[in-house]
Amino acid sequence: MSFDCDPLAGASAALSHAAQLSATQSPVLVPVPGPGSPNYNGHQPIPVRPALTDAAHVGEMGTVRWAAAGSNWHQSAVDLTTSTGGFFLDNANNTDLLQTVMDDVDTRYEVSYRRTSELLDGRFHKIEVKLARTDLRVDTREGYFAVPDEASLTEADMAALRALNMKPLPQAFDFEAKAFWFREQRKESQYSIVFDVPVSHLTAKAEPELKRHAFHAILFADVKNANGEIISRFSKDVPSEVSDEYLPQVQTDRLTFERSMLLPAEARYVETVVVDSEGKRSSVKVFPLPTREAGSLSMSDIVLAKRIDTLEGAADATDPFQFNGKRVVPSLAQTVTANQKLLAFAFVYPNPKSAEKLGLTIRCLRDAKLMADRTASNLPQPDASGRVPVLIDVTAIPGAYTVMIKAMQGSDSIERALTYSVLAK
Amino acid sequence: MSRCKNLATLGMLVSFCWAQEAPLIRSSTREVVLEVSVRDKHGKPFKKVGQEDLAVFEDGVRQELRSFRLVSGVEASAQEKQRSASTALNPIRTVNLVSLVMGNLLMRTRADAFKAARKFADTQVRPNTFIALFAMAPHGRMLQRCKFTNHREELLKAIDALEKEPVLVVSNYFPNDPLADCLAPRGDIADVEALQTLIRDLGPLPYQKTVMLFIGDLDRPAGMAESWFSLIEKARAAKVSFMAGQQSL
Repeated sequence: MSFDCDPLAGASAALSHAAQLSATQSPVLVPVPGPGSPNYNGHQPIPVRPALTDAAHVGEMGTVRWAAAGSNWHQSAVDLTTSTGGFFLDNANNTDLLQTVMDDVDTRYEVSYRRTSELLDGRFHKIEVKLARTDLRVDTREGYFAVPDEASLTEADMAALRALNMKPLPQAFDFEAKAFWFREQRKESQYSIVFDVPVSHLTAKAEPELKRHAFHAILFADVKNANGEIISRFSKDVPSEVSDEYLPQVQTDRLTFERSMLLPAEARYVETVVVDSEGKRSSVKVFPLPTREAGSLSMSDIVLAKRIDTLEGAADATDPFQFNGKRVVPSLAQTVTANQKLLAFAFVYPNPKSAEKLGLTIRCLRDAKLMADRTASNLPQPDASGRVPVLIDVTAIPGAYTVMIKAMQGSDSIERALTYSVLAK
Repeated sequence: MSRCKNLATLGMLVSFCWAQEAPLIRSSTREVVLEVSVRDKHGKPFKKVGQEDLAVFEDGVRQELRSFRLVSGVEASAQEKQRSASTALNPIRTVNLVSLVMGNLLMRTRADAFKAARKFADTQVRPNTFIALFAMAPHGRMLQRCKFTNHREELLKAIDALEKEPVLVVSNYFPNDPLADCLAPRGDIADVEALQTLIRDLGPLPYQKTVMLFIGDLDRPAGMAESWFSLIEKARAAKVSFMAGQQSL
């Protein structure tokens, strides 16, 4: 995969390049005499001892004294530095030299112009700067991504935006992404965007010296309105290392990540990107944002969950998958294997102004046949944020399933459904 | 400010005012701000460009400039230092890549060279200034001891570790010998090859790259002028500038 635009054109390239250098070059200095030394024969080892400081010459710390004046080095260094646009400072002290270096490195022109388009759609805009004089060289960033708050873009964001600017959109490997609607809050809707990436689809880079493999995934999502403008975005950089002995086990697992977002009514669709940094490839999925009618009695989407973890710290109040000291780990798999532990998870939001009791009906259909029909009326009180969590064990034998949850409060009612398939092992 | 009674107070106020007034690079929703580096054919910064000499195109369409000014290195450094608490890269700004190269250091000056490198790392690491550490090694090899980083501690640690590494000492060299410098390892064609390796590897990286040499000896190999000029040409083509300094002993 190649990227045809790189507005940063800097750090990410530098870092990956640096990694390459590190990988290809020996980390150990091998003490071998140079051809000019008396005992040189090309292979003969010579004694090595630690560097010693000559105290007699270290009186004026802070001055540049790593080269002897008057040697051929002087002329060679002057030649090399001045011919390549650098400089050679005679009789400098450290402060002079360092300041002069950075003054040279940092000197530049600052230019601004007004964009012709105001659309912040994430598109890459190529920039070229031309000079009237052809004997001068000009450098600037190659372009920019039209996003809100461009200065806050991270390397991870830019790696993902590069993928979104490719035509056709890259599909190097499969992953799942989905947006779940939870509730309406102050004219905005709370969603959770969930990524589910099979670890086996990510490149495992061997690090033999450390007896481990490295993975590096970047997860990115932006939400756009009907005009294609970015309303909100996030990215998650997930570098990880796995000991060689655990690699086969980890590769059967899935990387799951979810992020809660409050989105305005104009939000229409989601662009999700997974960048496999070690493999230098990426995949994009674009899907519409589900919209729900929110009445006085409300219910979230039903989420299939693979397990519930105990939270070690305090629950994040903005994360709908965390409640009562627990964290629900969602699964986006549409197909699961028989007897795999599965839960259906949802929140019911009763009308706080209603004195009526909340009731639930849960029905489960397998291959369109009703398998279970339960009614629950003795439900717990809503928590501080006004929600009642519903967790249903739906571990099952093979078949095509539909789980329906209906909440009732007085004359109000609301129903959501979840479908999935269970295959034999 | 006129009520200031001592220099220390005045200094603080001046610093504060300056920080308030320094023009910071910003990119608003509609305004695009560019940092443009202009260098001559040798790679030296060129500071006499006028607005009329420069044209900016976005997606092939020429843009009308709203502002144009030369930012001195001192001013740019000060702006960057205002953000120095963060290591987050600012994608709007130019990325500086500086390579510190340690090699062929004379025993008597080695500590000073490392001290200077340490000072450089300590004062110049900034969000958009990435610094790497290299060690020249025999047989024309250039060993990378620290990847390009804008993390001060990481770089300082690498410099400390490199200083502690064993160094080549020829068998008849004694550190207090007045002739020690003459007996220290001499630069040769291997040094040129090592620098060529570095230039080759830095070449694909963007912007002008700066290599700061902390080396005690670099002989232009006798009778090998071609290699030497080739080194310079390759550095120019790869947009690599070398810098070095010297204090008379």
